[in-house]
Amino acid sequence: MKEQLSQGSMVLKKENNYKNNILKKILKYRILYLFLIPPVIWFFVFGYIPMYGITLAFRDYRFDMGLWHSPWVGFRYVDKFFSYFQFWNLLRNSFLISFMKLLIGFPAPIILALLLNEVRIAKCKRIVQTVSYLPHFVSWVVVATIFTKFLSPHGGFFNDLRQLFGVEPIFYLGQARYFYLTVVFTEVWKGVGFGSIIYLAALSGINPNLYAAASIDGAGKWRSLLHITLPGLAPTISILLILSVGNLMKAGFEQILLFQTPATLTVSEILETYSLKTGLREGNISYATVVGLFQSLVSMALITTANYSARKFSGTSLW
Amino acid sequence: MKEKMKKWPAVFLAITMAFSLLVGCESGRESGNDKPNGTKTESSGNESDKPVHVKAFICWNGSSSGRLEDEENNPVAKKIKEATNVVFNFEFATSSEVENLNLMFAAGDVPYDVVAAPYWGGDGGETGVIKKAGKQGMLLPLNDLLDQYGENIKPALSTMVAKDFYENDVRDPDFNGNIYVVPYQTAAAPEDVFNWGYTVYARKDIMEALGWKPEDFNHSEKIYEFLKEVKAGDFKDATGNPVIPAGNWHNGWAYGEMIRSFSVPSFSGFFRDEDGSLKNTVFSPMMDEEVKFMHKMVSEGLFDPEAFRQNDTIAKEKHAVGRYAVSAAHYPHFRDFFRQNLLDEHPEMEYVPVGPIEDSSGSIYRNELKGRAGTPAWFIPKNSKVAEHVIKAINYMNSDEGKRLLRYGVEGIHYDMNNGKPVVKPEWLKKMNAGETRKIGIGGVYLEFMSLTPSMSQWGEFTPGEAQKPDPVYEKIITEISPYKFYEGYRASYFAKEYPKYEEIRELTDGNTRRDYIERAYFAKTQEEALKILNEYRNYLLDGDIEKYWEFMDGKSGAREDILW
Repeated sequence: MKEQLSQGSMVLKKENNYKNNILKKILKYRILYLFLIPPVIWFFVFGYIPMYGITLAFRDYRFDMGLWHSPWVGFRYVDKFFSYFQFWNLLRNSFLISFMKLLIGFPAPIILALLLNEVRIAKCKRIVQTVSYLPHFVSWVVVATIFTKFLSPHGGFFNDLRQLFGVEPIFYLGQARYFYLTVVFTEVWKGVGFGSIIYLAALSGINPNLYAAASIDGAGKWRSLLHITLPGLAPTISILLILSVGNLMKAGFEQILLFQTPATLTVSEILETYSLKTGLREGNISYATVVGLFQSLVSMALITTANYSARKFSGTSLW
Repeated sequence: MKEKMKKWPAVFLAITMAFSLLVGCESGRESGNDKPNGTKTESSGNESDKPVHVKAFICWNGSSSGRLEDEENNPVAKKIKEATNVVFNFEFATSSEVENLNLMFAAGDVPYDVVAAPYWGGDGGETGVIKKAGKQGMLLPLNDLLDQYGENIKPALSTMVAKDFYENDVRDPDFNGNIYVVPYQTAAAPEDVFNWGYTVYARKDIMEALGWKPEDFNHSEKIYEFLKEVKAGDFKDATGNPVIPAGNWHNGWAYGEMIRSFSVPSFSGFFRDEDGSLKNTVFSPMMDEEVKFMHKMVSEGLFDPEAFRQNDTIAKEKHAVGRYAVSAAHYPHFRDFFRQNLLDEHPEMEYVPVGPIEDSSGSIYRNELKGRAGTPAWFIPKNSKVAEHVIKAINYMNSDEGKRLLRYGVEGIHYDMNNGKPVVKPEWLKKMNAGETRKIGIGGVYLEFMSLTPSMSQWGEFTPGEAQKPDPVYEKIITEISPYKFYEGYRASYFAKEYPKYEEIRELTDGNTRRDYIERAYFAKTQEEALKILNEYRNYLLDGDIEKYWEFMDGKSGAREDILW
């Protein structure tokens, strides 16, 4: 009994010491901790408070009663969404487009970073980096306008080329298969440069002695890439992959909306564009909230699964 | 010491960053004064030297071209200020009207004192949102204010508007007697009803080169034949690029004119089938013909596939160089747009109205209701602090003098009165008709508050200068190409509200879903597939129990004697 008590008090003491240590550390680095305040406030104000808005999915939103007082209607809008005749189509399109983006768009910045890492002429490297980062800062409206012009069947660059060779022009944005191609290509074009920054940073963190040692052992570029570079990048890749999987239901509404045409609606209508149309165009705020909430819940399930799998198979995870 | 000096800027930076996050959360209203609901306020405007600023939102997509150079010191603003001590400050919608309205009301606090928006009637689109806002207490009831200060505005509620529109939309029974909206852009008398001259327009030089005359285009199929010849010919636009046989303005406006020969004349979107049963026009055999027609237009490269959803800028860019051989819209749009670009250097590329094009019943007439069956309207949000001043100013703008001010400018400066009619001074006429005076307020944004336009009844003309020099093209359009035929009655669609599952039917028959299906059919690989998509849409409606709705509507046939189907 006495032993048990002393063990108990030891645990308490350890816990107190631990807490004191943390407090001491916080006090010691209080200036650095101050910098946490903005993101904490940001998340609280723009991330957590608006979360109350999801209750709209179960209310009948009225302009005069707003978020707080609109009457509760239970699962009326949830039922309506699940029985919507295009429900599966929306789900399929959202998943398919984002899956294709993930499949092609995820490895692209890794490959670019690896290629850039091999460039030895610093000036050339800097130019390539700058040029590849630029599209990230161009808004989707501009990108869509540029590509719509390029792909236009009347005077568009690609169709002019086709006509030069005597081939009939194609309305690229009016055909499902080209629609996917356009969406994935523009996504990669816009994001590949900026996405490679984080990998370049990770690459610079790999100990150069490893490459020297591998070289002495007779390893060529390919071997070094396989056995040093890629394992060195693995934790970064894992984390970013988990985050990307969480976005699998988010196909990028801005881009899709801008490239959408009546001809491609069956393949281009996604949860986000549908939510925007029902919410803002038709004024069904509650119904649009259900669509958004559904998307978030699926994303949460996906990110949890991805995190669990990553932890199990590679030992790296978000939490 | 140095370390400490480094710390303090860091602390300052962190705190500044934290607070700057919350700056945007502040809500502020600048106009007016502090008392609620606008009635009988002691506003800052009562201090004689300080004008009352009214924040007006023009909820018309693309209206920003009417932006004023100076909101306070233009000739119209000065006169309004002189008469009412009110200055209007404008904001313009630059995206979809219905989205703007939904966002504005959903935010809870509308930051404007008056809003001008589309109000086409029924319960969908913009009208649906405005009605919902009225019923849910977001709009200010105007009854008392109009009684006290709106003697010039009040007649606009019922004059020259269709009676069903008045009964169900302007004075919606669910408004409980409150007046929330005031129609504008209405005619003051029957002779003031403006025929917009909607029809198909073709490039004159191409027509002449191919030996076509405007009257040859008497059926949609004739347009098709013409377009095939255009495609075979080697015609160029002003930049030397090949022409596109046909297209339209922004977002599909108004290719419907090209398929007029397949349209079933209807006021309420219904037709009677051969067996006598009532159905939506989308079930009409003519709909099959329309889909087949547009499908061949698109698949044979005769109609610009981008045109259905192209934006305003791209549409204007194409028209400005004469890229389309054939397009469609209303006459003032074609007349005013080309004055400033294409026709300067290429007068031969002028777009001329063609037709008359028969509808599916063989008629060349456009069926119109007596009085406008849907209008633009303005309303005052409930939180406006200066509602009384808004009404006073709009009332002045709707006086005889005010209306002339808005349309013609200041008497003695921009126009003179001759035999009781305004005559624009020659030095201003060209500017006025070229739209250049809009930036100083004449013939511009202030017209958004003018109801009961007395174009013919008082001014003797629809366009400044027309009385002295009639426009033969317009005369031809309204008499031969696109003449109106007036009907008086009550549109059957207004009975829909009595249907027990009205909300479900409203969603089922939503225009956007219909448009998506039909336009998708135009892009199908084959004609059979196009018709399959059309039937898919019909089945969607049938699955939604639309037949029961038809039965209900048919049962209303005897409800009134003046029903228009």
